[in-house]
Amino acid sequence: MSDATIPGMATPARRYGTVAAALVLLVLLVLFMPALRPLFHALFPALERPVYSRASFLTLTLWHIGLVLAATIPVVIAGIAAGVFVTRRSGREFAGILDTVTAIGQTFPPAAVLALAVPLVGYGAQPTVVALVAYGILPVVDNTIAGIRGVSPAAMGAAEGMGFTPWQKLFWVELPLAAPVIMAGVRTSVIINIGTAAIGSTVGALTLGSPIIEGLSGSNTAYVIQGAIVVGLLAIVTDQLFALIDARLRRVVPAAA
Amino acid sequence: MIAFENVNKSFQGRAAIADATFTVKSHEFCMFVGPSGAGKSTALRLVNRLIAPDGGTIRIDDDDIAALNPVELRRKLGYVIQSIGLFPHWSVGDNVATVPRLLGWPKARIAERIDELLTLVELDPATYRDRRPHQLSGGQQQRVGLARALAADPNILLMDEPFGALDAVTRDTLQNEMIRIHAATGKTILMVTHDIDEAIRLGERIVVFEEGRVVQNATPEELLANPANDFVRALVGGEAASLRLLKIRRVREWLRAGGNADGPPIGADEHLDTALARMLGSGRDALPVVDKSGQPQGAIGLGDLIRKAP
Repeated sequence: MSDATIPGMATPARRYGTVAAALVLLVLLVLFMPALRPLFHALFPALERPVYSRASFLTLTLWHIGLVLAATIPVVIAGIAAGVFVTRRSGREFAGILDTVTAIGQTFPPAAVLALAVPLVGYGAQPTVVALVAYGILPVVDNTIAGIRGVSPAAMGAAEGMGFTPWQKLFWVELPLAAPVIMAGVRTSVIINIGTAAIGSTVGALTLGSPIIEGLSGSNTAYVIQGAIVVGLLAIVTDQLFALIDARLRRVVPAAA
Repeated sequence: MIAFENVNKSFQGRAAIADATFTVKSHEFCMFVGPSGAGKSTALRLVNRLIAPDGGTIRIDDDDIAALNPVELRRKLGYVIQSIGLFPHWSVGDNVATVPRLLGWPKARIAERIDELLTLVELDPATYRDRRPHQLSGGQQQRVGLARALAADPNILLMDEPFGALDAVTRDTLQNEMIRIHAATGKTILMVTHDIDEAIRLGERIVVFEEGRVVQNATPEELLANPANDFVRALVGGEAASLRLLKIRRVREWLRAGGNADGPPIGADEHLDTALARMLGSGRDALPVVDKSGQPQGAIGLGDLIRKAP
């Protein structure tokens, strides 16, 4: 089956093109930021050191990605598990509580989570991961619940009547059919956390937020721009990669499901 | 054999099945008929334990189903529902293979069985095996649903208003398929319907439900000739019941073998109402009957209709 092409929508070729272009730009910036010194010097002639150099942008980016990944793995496992649990007959009564807990996690400002986490786990990467987990779990839980509840009742009725065990229903029918919705939740969570991870630098984590925060405190607008552009590009590339995964999943699970 | 013995089931204090006792014989095509909420669907879902009775016993071949593992029981019973419920992320072939996979059949045997069943429901395996359900029409989807239900060769087929959502022409075609498949496989079939014509056309036995009670359990002829109460009389259409019977019975069932008549012949597979209409139209009181190849089979006359009609 070939991809349906809807006018105005990205064709697969164009989609790959966008991802590739954003990715190349990101890699070039990360590797060769110091080469832009003349540009930033021209833009901000008053600054003595117009390119952030306390750590290389490669180091910052790898740490940034590492922190988001470290948070995403528990977010995905716990988020899907929690969503599956409250959609079981035995877990239904916990749906309200779970909703409240994840909503608190999301509405609590990440800066406040950081402030609370530091006395418990110290400075650096750990409190950042704690904040990212708290902040990123809601979309995964919500979308897992919505995805499973959206599975065709006819398919579930047939599965039940044909003698599926509860586990077979979950792994053969519910999770595959809910996969596009669940992945959309993971996508939201990861994109939010790529942005949120930057504030980890306020408690000593090395992230792409480091130049931003140093730039803000030292009135170095060039640092702020450098950090912000790389974070933004990283978010765009990641989002486009998720778009590719989504297109694949939706070929397997038709929209009618 | 499937036996209901004093089965009761209520939902929120309202009786859905009230003291139901009846038996369906092996190989019988049995219809559960009645209006919405009469309990016919509940009765079907009690058989594969999707619903548990409040009281009474249901036996399949002398086994009390309450003592069986429900998952294993369901794998032994074919199940077809109105909403079809094909798995949209699986191919047609994978859908058909569902229960054999649950039962752990070897791959080669499953592949063979998929083609066998698609052929049985008249879908060309090579064309349809790898299609996805959303690429099929409603009628084709329900053919796949039927093939899926028959995949592990169950002795009993449970069908919950299987053709209720299909258009009249498709429904008619699939009803004919069911008659053919029942004759070919000898399955015991329990089918729920609210359509009395479908019940009379397909059923060898009809169980009529009214407000959770079994009000009549009879062959179609008995039902049309002797409705048990006013409800059943109204259901089968009052005095029009005998006309309804002519619509479902075929000439070959009522013809006089060896009989003679003049004029253009009628096919043995035509319905009796067609025969009656042709007699009225041509002013003759009997018609010669021929089979598909034109061989004389006998005759059918007004007298035969009057004698055999209930």
